[in-house]
Amino acid sequence: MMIGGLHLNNVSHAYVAGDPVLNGVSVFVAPGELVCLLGPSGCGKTTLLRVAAGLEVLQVGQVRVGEQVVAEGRHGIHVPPERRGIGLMFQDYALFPHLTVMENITFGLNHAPGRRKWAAEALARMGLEAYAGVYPHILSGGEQQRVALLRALAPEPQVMLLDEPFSGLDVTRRASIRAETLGLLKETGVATLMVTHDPEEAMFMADRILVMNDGRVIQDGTPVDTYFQPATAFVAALFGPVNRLQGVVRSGHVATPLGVFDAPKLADGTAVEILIRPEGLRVAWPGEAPEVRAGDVPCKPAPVSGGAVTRAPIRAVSARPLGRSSHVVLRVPDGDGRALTIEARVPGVFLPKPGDEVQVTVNPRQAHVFPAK
Amino acid sequence: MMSEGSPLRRAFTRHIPDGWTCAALIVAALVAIPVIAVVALAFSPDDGIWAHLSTTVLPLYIRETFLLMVGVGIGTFVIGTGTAWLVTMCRFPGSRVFEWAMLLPLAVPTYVLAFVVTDQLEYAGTLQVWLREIFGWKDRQDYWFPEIRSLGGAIAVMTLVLYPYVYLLGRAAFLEQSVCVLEVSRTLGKDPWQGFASVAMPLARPAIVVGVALALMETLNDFGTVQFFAVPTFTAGIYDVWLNMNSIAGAAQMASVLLLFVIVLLAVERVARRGQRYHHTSSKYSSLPTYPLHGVRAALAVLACLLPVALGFLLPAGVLANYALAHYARTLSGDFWTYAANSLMLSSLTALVAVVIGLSMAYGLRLGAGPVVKAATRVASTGYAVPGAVLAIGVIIPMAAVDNALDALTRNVLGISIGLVMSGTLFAIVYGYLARFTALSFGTLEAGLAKITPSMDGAARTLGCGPMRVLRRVHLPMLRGSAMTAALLVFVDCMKELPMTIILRPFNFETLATHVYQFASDELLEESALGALTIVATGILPVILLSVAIARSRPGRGGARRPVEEISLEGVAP
Repeated sequence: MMIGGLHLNNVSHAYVAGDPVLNGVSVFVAPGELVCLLGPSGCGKTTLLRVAAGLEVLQVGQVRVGEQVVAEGRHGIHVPPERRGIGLMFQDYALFPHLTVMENITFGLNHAPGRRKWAAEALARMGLEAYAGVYPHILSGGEQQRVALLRALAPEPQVMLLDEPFSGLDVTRRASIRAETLGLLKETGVATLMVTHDPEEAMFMADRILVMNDGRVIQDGTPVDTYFQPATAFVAALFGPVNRLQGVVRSGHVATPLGVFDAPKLADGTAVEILIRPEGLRVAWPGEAPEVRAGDVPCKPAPVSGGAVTRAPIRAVSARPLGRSSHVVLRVPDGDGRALTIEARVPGVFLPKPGDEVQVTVNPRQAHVFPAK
Repeated sequence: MMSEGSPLRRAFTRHIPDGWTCAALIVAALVAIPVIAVVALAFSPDDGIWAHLSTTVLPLYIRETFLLMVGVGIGTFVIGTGTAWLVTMCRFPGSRVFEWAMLLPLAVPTYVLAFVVTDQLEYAGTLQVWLREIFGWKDRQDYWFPEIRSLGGAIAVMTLVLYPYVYLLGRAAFLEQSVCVLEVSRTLGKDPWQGFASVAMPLARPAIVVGVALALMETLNDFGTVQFFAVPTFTAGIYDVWLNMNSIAGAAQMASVLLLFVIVLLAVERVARRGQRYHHTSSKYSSLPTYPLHGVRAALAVLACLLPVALGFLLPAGVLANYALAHYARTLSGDFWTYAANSLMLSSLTALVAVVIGLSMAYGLRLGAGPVVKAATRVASTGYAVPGAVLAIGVIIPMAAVDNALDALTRNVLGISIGLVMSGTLFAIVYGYLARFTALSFGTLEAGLAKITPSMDGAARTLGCGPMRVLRRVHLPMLRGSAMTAALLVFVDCMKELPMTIILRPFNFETLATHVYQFASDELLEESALGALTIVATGILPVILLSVAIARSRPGRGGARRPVEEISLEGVAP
């Protein structure tokens, strides 16, 4: 039914001349696909949505909906937002306070009786039919979110843009509304570009994740790729706190107090930073058979500067239960008489006392080696 | 990457003018023309009038204007800040009533209070007659009484009517201060008075400066009081030079000097407003700590609040009502209804046009205007700061030019003289009113629009509405309240307006304001009391609006988040 999807080619944008917010960003969203723009606040995500919708006049680059060019910087083409066939859902929902729920949803429908029926049915399916005649201010956050989504979908846009659609909801309701929204979007087959700064949300919703920072796309990949093969230290750190270790490449390997990691693509002598996710560390009592999987790196004494090393044990500093997992802080002797402090997340309840000795192995899929800056 | 001429830079500076931009630009230019005309004429060659003025009356005008401003500035600051603090932070009998009652003097135009005060306090007035009876004095030689029609009298009258500006902004500032900072100052060992001096006042200072600046702008605008009290200020001087010396160039030069005073005030106001942004301590309210007052302290607080209200509102309203009751039959059988109809017609017409103009300016700005439109709207919105006498001169000059050009054209082409088409017509008055009061409607509507989040526009646009339909379907329904407020504010100010009406009105055309001024100047206050009372009664309408806003903004009442600031303050000019 729908062809084309959304194409943003080499888009640059500056609110203040000389200080670009977007710097040559290219994005393609296929029909039926959901792409998440993930990045910290101020990275240009929302500006990209506004440029795509036509709420900002494009300065450099091109925006296409299917085959139709709706904006081009060089030729000064600017199709106004009302004629682009792009739906946009705002972070604050922007429901019109002077219109009822039903009037809000049908606001974008001019002469489409069929869609009015659709609106009534969709409202009923979400269990909101009783609210059709009320004004938005009495609705809860979740209800407002669903009305805003229906309003944006009602005119059957080819492209749907969502700006932090779940940030206004409380945590308990978020999961179910997320699933419901995803279902509705997939059902309509619209090409969806969604902005979020929540990596978990992006992992859950997206077919593809585009990581943005400083107005550029840093990585474009599936959620699994983005999580397990981050392109840069920035991407790796986006998914939560990480342990950072320093080292130097020697014949394709980096030795650290936590073990030796592969660095096949980096030249000898390169200073590197190794990022290890807390959930990538396996911690066990000494003597206990550790749950070692194929490829795990046992934490053995690092061959520091050739000399013989007296291996000091790794000891716990503190441990806190978090429910599904435990948060454990460890001191790892680095062989030079000093020690590193690292964090681990251990499944279940694992609560060593301060000073208790533990053994540690590292899941190399959760340890990422990057050249140091 | 971003060198001159790079595509990004070119794209950034490109600006596509559209209908809204042009409309906003034209409107802003029309409103700005009078100010530009005054300055232009002032710099054109004259017949030595400036040399004459600067050696004779100019030093006097400067001194008196300066003294008047200092006096009113200090007076409004003390009364406005003091009562705002008492009412906001202390509890004493009637403090809830004073919260809104302190605003009542805003309803009284300065010239009306000047007439009433003179009527009551002069030699033949009620008070002195009464004193003479009590003490058995025979005449002036037996006792001393201050001269009412003097600079001091003008300062007192204007202070009593203008202090609500400072009160209003001061109270809003005190309310906005988070309780926390005041409580922190207590926990750090300051008593309430030290807290006031070391925390509350410094935080409220920008708002209070804005209030005093607004009061001083009104001081410069006043014409009726200074003329009646024979205080030779600039505003009185412009009128004098124009009518008695018959020199419009001289009047324009005087007006330009007066503009310098205004520019200083505007600069002070702008800087203070900018400062206000950094003085927000918290956006959350909880009820402010209030200090209950008892005994002598409570009595003093009541007195401090009651005196300004009594002298600024109760006295004039009472005296006028008394006279009006005694003389209404004669007044009503005279030309009262004609004057009232004239005032009503002029004010409603101006209010309507001002709302349309203000809305197109505000919406044009919202649609993403370029630097030119922004500058133009800024110029146009400073009209409220320009004294009416200056604007009147600025309206006369271009109109006379257009009239002469039209006349010359018809004489050359058709061989007939059409005379003056626009000068001295109602069109001239309405134009003058608009130049001064469009700022009010613009400010109110802009504030109203600002409360509608830009995502509303975005949502409507992506749902298929063009800018005009967004305005019709989204903004106008939501702006109804702001538009009514804007119309009301302009209407009331037009009803009171005196200096422009006197200069610009057609021959023999009287409004309530000019009628009151004419009669009261001739010591016939009784005959014009009904007219003055009508003006005061209309002036109460915006005071009611403000009171409602204040009641809503009271901490702990749930209502509006931002207090009185929402209502454009320039709106309630006495």
